[in-house]
Amino acid sequence: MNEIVTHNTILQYVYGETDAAREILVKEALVRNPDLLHYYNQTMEVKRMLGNFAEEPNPTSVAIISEYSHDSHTEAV
Amino acid sequence: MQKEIIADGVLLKVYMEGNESALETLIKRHKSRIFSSIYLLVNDRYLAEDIFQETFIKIIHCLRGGKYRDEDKFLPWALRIARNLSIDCIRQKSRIPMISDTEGNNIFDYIQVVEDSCEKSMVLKEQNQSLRNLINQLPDEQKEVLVLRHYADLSFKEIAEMTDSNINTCIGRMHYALLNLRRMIKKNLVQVK
Repeated sequence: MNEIVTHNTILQYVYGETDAAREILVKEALVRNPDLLHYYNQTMEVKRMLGNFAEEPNPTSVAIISEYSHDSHTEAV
Repeated sequence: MQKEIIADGVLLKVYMEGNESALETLIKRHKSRIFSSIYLLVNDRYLAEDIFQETFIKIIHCLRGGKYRDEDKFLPWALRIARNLSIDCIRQKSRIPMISDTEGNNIFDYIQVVEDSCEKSMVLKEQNQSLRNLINQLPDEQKEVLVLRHYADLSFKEIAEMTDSNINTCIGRMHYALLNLRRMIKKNLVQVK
C-alpha cells in the first residue's frame, strides 16, 4: 500500500510518532516534494521556538497532597 | 550499580496496599509535567497549584475507590484528570488573568534558564513571556493539543482518547496551532532564535 505523505504525517514524524517504514516514506517525500520540505522546516522552526517549559509546583502543594493521603489512609484503617 | 526504576503500575499497586512513599515517588516523577501542563492551560500559577492538588486528591479517591484499571497508564490518566479540572476552571472564569505573583514578578522568574550572561537571560525571559502570551491567544482546542503534545509529551492518539475526538482531528488542531503561532510571531515581530 502506497501511503500519501501529508502535513499530518509530517507532524507525526516531527513528534516521533512514525515507525521505521513511515519514516523512510517521509524522508523520501521530503526529498521529492519542496512544499512538504518547506512545511517540515517551518514546523521544526516553531517546535524549536516553543522550547521546553518545565515548571515545578510549590513544595507546599506536594506536602498537602502527601498529608491528605496519609490522613485519609489513617482514617480508613 | 544501576538503580532499577519501579514502573508506575507497580508503585500504584504498592500505594493501594498502604505504602505512602510509593505515592511520593509517583508525584516526584511526574509533578513537573503535570503541573506545567495545568499552568499552560489555565495561565495562572496560583490556580495551577490548586488544580494540581485537586488532581492528586481525585487520583487518591479513585485509587482508594478501586476505580483505577491496571491497563491504564498512569500519566495519561493523571493528565486527563488535570485537563478536565483545568477546563472546568477555565469555563468558570470570565477572563484569563495575567500571570504575576504577589510582588508583581513576571512568572518566568520561576523558570530556570541556562544563561551566559544577565542580558541574554533577560532577553530569553522576555522571549519566553512573549511566546507564552501568544500560546494563550490560541483557540482553546488548539492550545490544548499543543500543550498536551509538545509540553506534556502525550501522543496524538492519547490526546484523541482524552478529548473524545479522532486522531486526525487532533493532528489537524496541532497543525493550525503551529500555523497560528507562526503568524502571530511574524505579526508581533517576536525574535526567537
